[in-house]
Amino acid sequence: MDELRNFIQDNRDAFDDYELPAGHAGRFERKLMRRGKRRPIYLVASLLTAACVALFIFLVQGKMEEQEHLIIAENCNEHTELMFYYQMKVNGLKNEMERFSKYSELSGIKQLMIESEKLLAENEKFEQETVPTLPCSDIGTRIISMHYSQNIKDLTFMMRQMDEMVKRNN
Amino acid sequence: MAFYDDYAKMLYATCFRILGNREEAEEAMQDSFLKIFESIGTQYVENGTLEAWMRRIASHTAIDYLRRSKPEWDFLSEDLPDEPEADVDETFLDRSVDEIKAAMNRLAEGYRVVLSLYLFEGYDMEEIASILKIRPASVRSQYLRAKRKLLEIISNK
Repeated sequence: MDELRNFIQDNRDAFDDYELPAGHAGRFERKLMRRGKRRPIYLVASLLTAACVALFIFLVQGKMEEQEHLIIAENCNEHTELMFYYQMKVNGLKNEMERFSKYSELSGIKQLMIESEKLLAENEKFEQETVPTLPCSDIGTRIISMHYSQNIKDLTFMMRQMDEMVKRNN
Repeated sequence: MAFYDDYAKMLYATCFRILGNREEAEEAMQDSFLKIFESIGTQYVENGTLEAWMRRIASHTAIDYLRRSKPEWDFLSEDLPDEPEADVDETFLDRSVDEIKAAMNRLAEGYRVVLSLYLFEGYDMEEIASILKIRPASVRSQYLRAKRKLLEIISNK
């Protein structure tokens, strides 16, 4: 009988309790960016951060620019049209993704579905909270394009992974 | 973000136990995540839990780090005589988790790896032998030595 092993199993949570080094998440994000292969989990958060930084810079600079650049975009036609275009693409991906729901008992698929749902939820949040605050200008359009391009890329990556996993399990 | 947050602590623990160093453990943990992201669709198969699969990636990554950073590490000598099976286990029972964790961190790399893989990561002796490319009997000997050394460190504290 291995008492040490039993002792560890009985106290497993305490043995696994290590404090993560401060700033580890930021370093991981930088590592992802250095590699030039930004992977799905971090993408939306990092893009939102980038969007906020860009917006902040814009607003600070905007004080010195013509007032017309500061029109906030709640009724910006350019944004509405652009978002309509991207939302159609996202909806197409969502429909395609539904075919994987019947495989959700596979834990890998389940996890990918959860992560995809998170991407879609972040997308919704971006539409509801960030877009209305964007300026009706090139920079606003650029932020929306960046967000959706990356979001669609991430969702496509998730779908590809699910597809491969289903093929392997068949 | 959420995926990383959910599993960072678990993978960090695995890496830290093997490497015994916070900076290297963080590096290995993060590299493990990159491997996981890249291979979840192609390598993960449904004959085990996702967590177990991820821990295995982290274990292998940490061992690779150890091999790279300490190529001279005097791992398990195949020449060592078999260790007698003297029972030292009961003496662990009155020790705290923190004492054992701290003592593990003071063990030599070879001992630490065998204890980590066997006690925490669920590998059996044959699997450990395969990973470390040594005989299963050597793993067993080294495991018993590691336990004895662990007790010695705790006792001399």
